[in-house]
Amino acid sequence: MKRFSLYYIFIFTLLVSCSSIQESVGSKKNNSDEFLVEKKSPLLMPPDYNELPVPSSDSIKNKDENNQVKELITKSNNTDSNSNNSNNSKSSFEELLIEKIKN
Amino acid sequence: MIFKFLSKNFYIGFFVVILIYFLDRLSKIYVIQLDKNNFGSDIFSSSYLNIVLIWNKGIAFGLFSFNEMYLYNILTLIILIIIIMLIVMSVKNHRFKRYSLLMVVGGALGNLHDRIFYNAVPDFIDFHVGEFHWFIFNVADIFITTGIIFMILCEIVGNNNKNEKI
Repeated sequence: MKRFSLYYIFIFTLLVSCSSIQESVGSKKNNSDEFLVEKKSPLLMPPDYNELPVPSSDSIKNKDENNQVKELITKSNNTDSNSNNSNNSKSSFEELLIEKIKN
Repeated sequence: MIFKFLSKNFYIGFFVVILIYFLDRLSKIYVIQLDKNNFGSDIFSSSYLNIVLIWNKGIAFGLFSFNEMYLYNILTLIILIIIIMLIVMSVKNHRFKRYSLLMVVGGALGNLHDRIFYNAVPDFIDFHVGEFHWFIFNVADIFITTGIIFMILCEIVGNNNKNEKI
């Protein structure tokens, strides 16, 4: 009888598939050891950082800025010339008026 | 033609195995679907019973949870051989012991199906008293355990009868 009981228990162990809650929750999982974690070296600037080429987008921006400045200058020049012209015209008109009055 | 020669007991036995197999499959499919809907959290929880889906890659009590596929396949093959042996035993035995064996076969086929198609068996019934948890099991395990208990009882009762006759 003992032989049969052992035989049945062997069958039971193989066929049944129950699992413990501890295994499923993860107590048997390999947790990482915090003392094995290597420290990383501090962040440093690379030695040739200043020699790196300037990105192309920046040059375009600079060009745009230069153009804008140039435009501003030219505009201001134009406005000055216009104002000069207007002043000239004003002065000629005044002179004409004065002459007419004199006459 | 073969069906004519099969006895009534065969059909009843076959029906018992199929019934247990489908009960197990239905419960597992339902729980897996509920687990998908709940995004892996507890499906049901109370002070005595929790329903949580856990995949067991090993055998009873979480033993032999192999990561290597060939060891897992060997274990599955051994289980298949045992199931065939149990079927042969059920044909040879009669009455109560026969149905105990068929209960074990039905449950074992349910677990074997998951082993082949999912590479793990889903367990979801978690009885607990406070913080003390019993092993998580499924419907197939209930039938296998009941069948094995009945078989041991049959052995005990059978031996007692033999001793009385002597």
